[in-house]
Amino acid sequence: MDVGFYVLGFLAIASAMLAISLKSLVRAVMALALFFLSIGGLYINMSCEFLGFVQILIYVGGVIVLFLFVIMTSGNIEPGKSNWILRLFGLLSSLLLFLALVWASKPFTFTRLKRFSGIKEIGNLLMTQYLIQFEVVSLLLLVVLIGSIMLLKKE
Amino acid sequence: MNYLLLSAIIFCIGLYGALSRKNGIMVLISIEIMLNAAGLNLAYFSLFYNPSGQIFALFAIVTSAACVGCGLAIFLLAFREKEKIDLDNFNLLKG
Amino acid sequence: MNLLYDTERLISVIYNWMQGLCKTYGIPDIALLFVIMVMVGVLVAGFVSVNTLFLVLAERKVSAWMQDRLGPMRVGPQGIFQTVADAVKLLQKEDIVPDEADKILHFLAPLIMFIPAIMAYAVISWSPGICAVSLDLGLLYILALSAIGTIGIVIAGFSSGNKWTLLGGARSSAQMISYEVPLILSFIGIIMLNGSLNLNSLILAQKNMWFIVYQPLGFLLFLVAGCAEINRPPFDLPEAESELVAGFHTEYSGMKFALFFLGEYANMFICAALAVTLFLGGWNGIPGLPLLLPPIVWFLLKSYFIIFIIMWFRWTYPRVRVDQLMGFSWKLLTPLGFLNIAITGVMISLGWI
Repeated sequence: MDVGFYVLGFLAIASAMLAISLKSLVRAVMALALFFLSIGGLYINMSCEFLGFVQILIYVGGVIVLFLFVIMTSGNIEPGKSNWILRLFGLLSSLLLFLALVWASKPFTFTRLKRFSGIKEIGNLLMTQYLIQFEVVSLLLLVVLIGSIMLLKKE
Repeated sequence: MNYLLLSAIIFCIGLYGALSRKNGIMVLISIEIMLNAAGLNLAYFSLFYNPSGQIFALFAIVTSAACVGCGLAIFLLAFREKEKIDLDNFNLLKG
Repeated sequence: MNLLYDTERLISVIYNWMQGLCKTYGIPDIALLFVIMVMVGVLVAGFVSVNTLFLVLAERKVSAWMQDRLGPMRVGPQGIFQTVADAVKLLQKEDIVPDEADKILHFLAPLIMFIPAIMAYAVISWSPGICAVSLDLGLLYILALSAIGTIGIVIAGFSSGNKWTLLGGARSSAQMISYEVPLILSFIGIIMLNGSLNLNSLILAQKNMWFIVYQPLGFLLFLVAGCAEINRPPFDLPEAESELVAGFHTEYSGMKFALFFLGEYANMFICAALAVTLFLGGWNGIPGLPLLLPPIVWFLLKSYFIIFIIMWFRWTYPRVRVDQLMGFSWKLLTPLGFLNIAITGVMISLGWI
């Protein structure tokens, strides 16, 4: 019985539901922050410590603050009223997807790796096997940086 | 197995949010929730195969940060033009 | 007295004594663990509050000294009980929540800022063996916590329902995102040299030579970016009192305001302790000389020296403008951080370090 998993998993589901249903944008973003924290906690719980801390550092420190900054500059606007057709469609499709996922996931029989793969192994992989992907991701970040500056630049 | 179920539930919550909300920022929030669910799955499978799963989760984190940066810039631009971030207003290409 | 030098033995003596007590009275081990956790928590909380009282007084005395004044003199000899009196006054104040405020977030904001600030003390290494958790990813842990603390400031600015606080919060969010980049870049050189993120092993690696000798640029970057990250002047734009009344905490009073204050000074000590751990050898003495003082005294001495430098900044530089602040980070500090990494890499591959 993994207590950490059940507590954090419940927290993640509850905060995700809050995040998509709250009317006030700032409160929704705060619920999202709680969601990111609990996902980080789940990563740490499954002994991917590095991933957990990076998750908290980037999502909570970067993404959430960015969201808050944009909401502050554009106002805490009431979200548009969504009609019931959209809601019904959303509910149906997500339920269908959930059923499909449950149906598709067979109980699998892999054995858990004995040794935890630490930060050293991740660093080695990033610098050898996944070097090109790593470079492409850094290029992507540069493109986003320049792109968002170009978008928001006033003439 | 529990982790997979959890990630499926979270992904479906995110999908529902993305389909039913109209405000651009709310849709972005839902997309973030879905990306995190996928990351959880990747990290969980890394416990069974090899650490590559964690690296893909890392890439997912970076990509979604880039996605948020770009998306929020677009929404800020839309707010300047139209005074609100409602996705129904983005119909300039309709003709 | 020798035990103060050999703190690892001190800890084991205390632990063995407590274990013996448990054996004789038949108390289960889990209770002992719980008692130890509570003791560590009380110690940290006590240190944070006493440290804040001391630092506020020190700040006023240092600023008085730099401006050729006397500073607070009335309460106690030389005014040393001034901050205690201030704290008692703050506790008695009415807790005001504005009508316009978002009540829940207004209540949560001080907590979101204060709790991560205290949690960061868990990995600080005070002396050999005195360290609550020796975490392998200690540096990353502190960075992640400081990222959470930022949200408290931004939320405080938003939830008060006041234009000044909103401006303070928006400034804070822009500032934190910009200065986190050079702050992290300034570490990377150290991590390349040592290959570890554990604060204990970082300190042990500096037995013979402090890292500031290899990384002078990194130290300067860390000091400037850290100063901005903890909202100290000249980077205190979120609470610029001459422009924004009191910035993000304008609408807070009483204990909530005190929590912001505590969090700010706790963060300041963390920043100084991190600078000492990373660049100034932690609890090691001066390399080449015998250890004249106990390690914990060295650690505190160096930390308070860094805090003195941070206070010195306040009375030397005028507050920067918002556009200057962002330009300074993105156009100067970030390229310098990359330059530092490149220089370190070249030096390591040439074998000079």
